[in-house]
Amino acid sequence: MPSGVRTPGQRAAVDHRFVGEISTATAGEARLETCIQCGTCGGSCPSAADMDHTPRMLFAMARAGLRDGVLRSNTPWMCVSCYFCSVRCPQEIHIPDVMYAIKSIATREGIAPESIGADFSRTFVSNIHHYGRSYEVGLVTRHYLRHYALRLPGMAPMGIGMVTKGRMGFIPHRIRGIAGLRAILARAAELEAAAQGPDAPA
Amino acid sequence: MNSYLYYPGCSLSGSARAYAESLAAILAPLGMELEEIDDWNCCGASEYLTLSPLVGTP
Repeated sequence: MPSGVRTPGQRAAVDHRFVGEISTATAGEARLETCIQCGTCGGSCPSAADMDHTPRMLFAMARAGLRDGVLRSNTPWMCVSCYFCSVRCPQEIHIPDVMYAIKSIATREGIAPESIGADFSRTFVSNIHHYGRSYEVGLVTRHYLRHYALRLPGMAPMGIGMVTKGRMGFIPHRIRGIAGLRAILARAAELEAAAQGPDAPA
Repeated sequence: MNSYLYYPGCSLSGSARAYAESLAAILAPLGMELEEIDDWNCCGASEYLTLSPLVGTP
């Protein structure tokens, strides 16, 4: 059963300020409150089959104040940022940006670490910290070893194909200015910690 | 010939290199020239936004 779905007789905690909280956390304008529940987003989504809730369901839950259910849903973590929902949405809701906002709230509250998607993001970010650019062979190998070790051999033919076609390199490229990039990232982390205040969890 | 600064990003220089090759092929007919930004770094993709709005803390 997807998280956020209650068994009969069980009451969910309701937070009516949740939509506002998401809007505040969204870069630009979210427009989440204008959703007409048409379902075009879920019908357009290449990842819908892997989601606990379609985007339409997730937005209905958010508006119903089911904060915990939304933050524990794997839905935003399955979003591949293709923006197809966004270009088709009749209400022009910035759906991928809303997904980023939900993920960052879940990360801040320590709920996200349960998610395989969050772990993927952390691995990606740690590669950037090391090299300054994406290192896909390392990213995919580490992610599969950690979460889908048995499926790794099955991925080998595609990986070899990508390497031979020059679409993936075995050797990571480290930028010359990596020290400068790390200094920028460290400063941004400081500013963010300051913005979240002393009570924010690390 | 107009010259432009060019930021390919990790995808265009890797998994999506076909787009970079198409771009290179159409430059001359359009009278354009690209100069790649020296020692560019990753844009952060959506993974940084996912973890935090300012910086993805690993």
